[in-house]
Amino acid sequence: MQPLTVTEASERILNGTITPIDLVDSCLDRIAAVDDHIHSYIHVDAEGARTAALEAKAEIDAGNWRGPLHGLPFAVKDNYDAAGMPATANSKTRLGNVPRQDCDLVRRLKAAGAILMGKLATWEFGTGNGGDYGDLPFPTARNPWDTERFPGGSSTGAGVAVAAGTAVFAMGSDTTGSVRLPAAATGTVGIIPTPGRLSLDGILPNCWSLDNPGPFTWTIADSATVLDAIADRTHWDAPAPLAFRRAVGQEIRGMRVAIITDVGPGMPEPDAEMAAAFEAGLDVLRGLGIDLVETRLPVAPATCFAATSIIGPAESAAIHEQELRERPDDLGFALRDKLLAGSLVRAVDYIAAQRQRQLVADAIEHLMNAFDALVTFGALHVSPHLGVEPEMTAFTMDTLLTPFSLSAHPALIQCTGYTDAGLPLHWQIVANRGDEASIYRLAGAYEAATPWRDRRPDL
Amino acid sequence: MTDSKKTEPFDIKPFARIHGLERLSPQHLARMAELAPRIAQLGRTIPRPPDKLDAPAQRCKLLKSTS
Repeated sequence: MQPLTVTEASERILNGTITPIDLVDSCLDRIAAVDDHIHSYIHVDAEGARTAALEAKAEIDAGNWRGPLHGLPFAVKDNYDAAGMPATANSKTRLGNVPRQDCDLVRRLKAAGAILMGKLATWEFGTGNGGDYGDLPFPTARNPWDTERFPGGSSTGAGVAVAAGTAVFAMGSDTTGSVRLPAAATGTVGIIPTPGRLSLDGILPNCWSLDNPGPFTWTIADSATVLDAIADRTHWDAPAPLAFRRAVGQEIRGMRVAIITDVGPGMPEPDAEMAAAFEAGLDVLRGLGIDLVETRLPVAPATCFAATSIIGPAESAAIHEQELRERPDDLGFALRDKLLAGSLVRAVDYIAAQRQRQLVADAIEHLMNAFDALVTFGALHVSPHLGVEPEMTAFTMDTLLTPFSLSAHPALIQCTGYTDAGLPLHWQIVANRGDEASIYRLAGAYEAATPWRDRRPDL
Repeated sequence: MTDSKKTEPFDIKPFARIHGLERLSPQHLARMAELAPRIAQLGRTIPRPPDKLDAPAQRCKLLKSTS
């Protein structure tokens, strides 16, 4: 059976053709069948999920349906705290750590009736340099489209779980690409909303000033549904209930949409198939009646990378100072290297980088103010072969993701087709702060006009 | 001709010691010494805004929070 999407599973629960118990059992069967090959999970809580499924079924049968996530299995990156479950962040330094409380997003999802299946693979502490050094406690997740390939990091298990159907939806976290890269590599939908939209409480930090959690789903409507359920409604621009889901399917004619095809100085050209899919996608949007305006990124990606290469390591070194001081041998190479680098950053340079961030943010905000949405590349390459350098680090570094992390704009990755070898292609859609609805409106129309959601990995 | 930009070998041991990193192995210290000039160079490449009123990014300012 094809894995069900959030929307399909929710509809089937409501019409009585499936129960939360069926859904949990289906995910557990899928995990048993394929997870030895793809390693999407670090920890599976089968008993807890079955218990929660029984409770959800009883509630729904009694007429107490909580909403579209009620009874749906999900999983979270292992930097999220979940009460009673190991929280290792794939680090030897955190083996045996079992938090007593749920992080805020897990609490919100459980309140919406969703069922937590377990914890998903991640780079150590949600950080890495793109390389795979085989020195972490749990195995590296593998791309279900080709298990010899990398599924993107640092939310390595989240995209894999959704693409392979070991969870109906998943949660990850992004600092400069850790939701968007795995979504790109696995053909899933990954969004980082406007920072502040989703709570970071109870998620192990990687970089306080840039961290941003986000959901992974198979479809655009699914993504909007999950974001609707967990968005912080105490925020200054709190969306109306179901505002994001309602945006999917709305008329897109008349939207002001910018495109950036020139990746800027110092960047390699996108893979030929990525570029061809991008152009074909633009033709789809034109066919839907949108006038696209070619523009340029107002800041060089290299400037953005320089800023994040100071900010990221410095903040990580502050967050994990104790581990570097006391247990440096227990850290994996990628994390230790970052913490060593961060320990060398001068405060003056860190502040210069944060000043630069503000200028980047102002420039991109000025650009975005003229448009409803912007379409550009995400990663410039397709999923790389595991363990093959420099293919691995090029996938992680050659991207247009960082500028929008610095500028604090919401950004979504969407599949735009497949290579001849069957690997997912993608683009990135960005909107103004607080306007995720425009992303969902545009991406939903593109998805409805294309066949890319009909195909799943053949494991 | 002398390259004025060439960095001298950096003795990382005292730096690590005064910053509480005594448990780093010789290999870690060697790697840190290798990274030091790169990080310094990277820091120098960050453009400095000419106006002293250009303050660092603040999460609340980026989000225009009213709270």
